Amino acid sequence: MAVKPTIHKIGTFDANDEFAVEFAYQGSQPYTNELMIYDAGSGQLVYDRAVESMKMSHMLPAKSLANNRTYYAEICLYDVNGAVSELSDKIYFSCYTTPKISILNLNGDGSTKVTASGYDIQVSYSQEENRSLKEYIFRLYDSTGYNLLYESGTKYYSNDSGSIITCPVRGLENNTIYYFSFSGITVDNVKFETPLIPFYAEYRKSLSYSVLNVECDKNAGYMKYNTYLVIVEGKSAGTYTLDNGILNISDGKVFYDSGFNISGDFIIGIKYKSGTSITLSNGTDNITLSLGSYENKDYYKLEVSNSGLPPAVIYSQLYDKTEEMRTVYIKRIDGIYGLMVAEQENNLTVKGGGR
Amino acid sequence: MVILGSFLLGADCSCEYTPTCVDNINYAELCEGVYDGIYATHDTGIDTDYDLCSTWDMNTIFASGYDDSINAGNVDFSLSTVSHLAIKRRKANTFKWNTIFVKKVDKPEDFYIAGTDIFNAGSTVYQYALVPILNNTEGDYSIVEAYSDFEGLYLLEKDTIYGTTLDVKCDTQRNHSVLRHDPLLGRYPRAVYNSEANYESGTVEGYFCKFNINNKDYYPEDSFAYRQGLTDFLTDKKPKILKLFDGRMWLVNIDETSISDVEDSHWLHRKTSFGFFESGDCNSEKDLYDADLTDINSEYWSCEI
Repeated sequence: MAVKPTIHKIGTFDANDEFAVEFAYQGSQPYTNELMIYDAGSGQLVYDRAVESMKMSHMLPAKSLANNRTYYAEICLYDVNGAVSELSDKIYFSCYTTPKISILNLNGDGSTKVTASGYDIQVSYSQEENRSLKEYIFRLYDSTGYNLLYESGTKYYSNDSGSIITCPVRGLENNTIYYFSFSGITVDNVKFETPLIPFYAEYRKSLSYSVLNVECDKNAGYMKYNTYLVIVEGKSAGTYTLDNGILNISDGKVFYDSGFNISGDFIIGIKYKSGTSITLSNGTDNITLSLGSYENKDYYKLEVSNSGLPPAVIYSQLYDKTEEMRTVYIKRIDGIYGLMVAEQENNLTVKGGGR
Repeated sequence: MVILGSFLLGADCSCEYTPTCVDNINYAELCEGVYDGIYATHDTGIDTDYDLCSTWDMNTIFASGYDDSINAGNVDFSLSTVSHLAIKRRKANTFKWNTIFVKKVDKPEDFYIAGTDIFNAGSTVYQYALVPILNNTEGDYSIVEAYSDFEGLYLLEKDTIYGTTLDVKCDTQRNHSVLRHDPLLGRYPRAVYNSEANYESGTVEGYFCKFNINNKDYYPEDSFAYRQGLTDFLTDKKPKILKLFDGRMWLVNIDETSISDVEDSHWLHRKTSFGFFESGDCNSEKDLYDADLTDINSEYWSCEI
C-alpha cells in the first residue's frame, strides 16, 4: 500500500457542526482511515483519530475543532492487513461560525401583510468572528413558491453597508401571496440560503378602473395613454376619527373645497346618522341638509337658498328614532330638488321622501 | 284652465317648488356626526338604495367610503402626498416593470398626463400602471391592461418613427462566439468560448411609402423625400428600436454599409433594405437610457441598477 491518498478540498465550515472529510485513494481497499488535523499557526496536533470504515470519508465530530482557526489535515489509510498508505498531502482549511441571517420585517409564518405595492425587506447579517458577507442575491417567487418572479442579480457587499441589508421589492400586486428568499456567500465562501418566507400583499385599490386609460394606435404602431384623476382632498377643522370605514366627526367639520364643480343635474347620497348638518355651497348660495326632531321622531330638512329670494325647503316624512344609519339622497333635475331617505329594516331598503 | 289648447298647471312639475339654480358648487361640508360614505354623481338615474353606490365612472363627482382617509377622489393621493407621477409598463404575467414616464407634480393640472409609449412590441398584452411617488417612495399601483397590436415594422428613436406595412421582411440570425479548435491527436474538435457575446443580427426589407395616419392614404409619388429621410435616419449612428407586428423587438444599431434602395416592379415601387445588429436589451431601462432612447433617470428605474 504505497499509494498516497488525496484529501478533497475542505471548504470553510462551522466547527460546531460535524463535517465529512472526503478523500480519494487508488490503492487497495482501505479498512481504516486515520485523520490528523494540526493547528496551522502552532503546528500542534489537535485531532487524531482512526476510524474503521471502507468509505472514502471521515466524519469529523462536532466541536472537535474551534472556530476562527486555520488548520491543515493529513490522512493515511490502512488495508485489511494493517499495511499503511503514504501520508496524504496537507490540505489547509478554516473554521468559522455559521453566519446568522434574519429577516427583520417578515414573519417566518407568512403572517406579514404588506400594505403597499413596494416593500423594503430588511435582512440582518451577523457572524460571530466578524467575517464579512461577500455577495448576496435575493429572489421573489409567486404564490406557488416555484415560479421565480424576480431575481436581484448578484449584489456585492461592503462593510460600509452595515449589518442591515435592504432588499427592495416593487410591483407587488394586490391580494397576492409572494415568497422571498435570501442567499449569500461569505468571504470564506460559506454559502447560505434562507428558506422561502411567504408574505401577503394587500392594499386598498383605487375605486376607479379608469384612472389610467391605455389603447393601441394600430396605424401609428404605438400605445397612447392618459390619466383620469379626480383629486378631492378632504380637509378638517376640528376633530375626527376614522375607524373601520366610519368617519366620526366629534367636533368641527370635514370639508372639501377643491377638485370638483357641480352644475346641472346631480344626485348626492350620504350614509350617516346623527349628522347635524351637511352643506353644499358655491360661495354665495347653499344647499343644506339637516336632521331635525319632531314629536320624538326624526325628519330631514333640505334648504336651498337662491340669491336673496326665500329659500326652497323640503321636509322628509317622519322616521322613528334609531341608532342605525340612514342613506339620504339629494337629487336635482332641471333645478327641481328631491329628498329621498333609505333605511335598513330587516335587510330591506325602505325608501321615503318628498319633493 | 285651458289656454290656447294647453292646460295651465297641467305638466308633471307645474306645482313644484320654484326652480333654483345653485350652480358651480365647489364646496361640501360635513358637520358633527357619524358617516359611512358619501357619493355624488351627475347620473341621476342611479339606484337610491340604502347601500351607497361606490362605482366610479365619468359621471362621478366625488365619493368616499371613509376606509382609509377622508379624501373623496378616485385615487387616495393629493398634491400634499405626491411629488411625482410615473407610468410603468410590463408584459402581462411578468413581474418586472419598466418606467416609461415620470412627471413632477406641483399643481392640480399636473395630475393630467397624456402621452405615447413607443417601445411596445406587437401582438403583446401589456399592463400599464399609474404610480404616485413621494420622495422616491412609490404608492399603490393602479393597473390597466392593453393589447399592443399593429401591422408591419417600425424603426424608431426617442422622437422619430419610421414604419411600413408594405412588403415587410425581416430575417435574423443569432450570433454566439464559439471557436472550433481541432486537436492534433483527437478525433473531435473542442469548443472554445472566448466571449460572452450572444446577440441577434439580421436584415430588414420593406416598401417605405409616405402614409397619412388620419386618412390612411399612401403617397408613393411623394415618398422619395420620405425614403431620403429614412436613409438619413438609418445613418445617424444612433441606436434604435426595431419592432415588428409579430412581437419581435430589438435595441439595434444599423449596419450602415448594407443600406440599399432598389427598384422593384415599378419605378415608384422601391424597396429599402438594411442590416442591423442587436446592441442592447430593449427591455432594460439602463440600456434604453444609455442609448438615449429614454430620459428616465435611474432613480425611477424599477429594476436594480
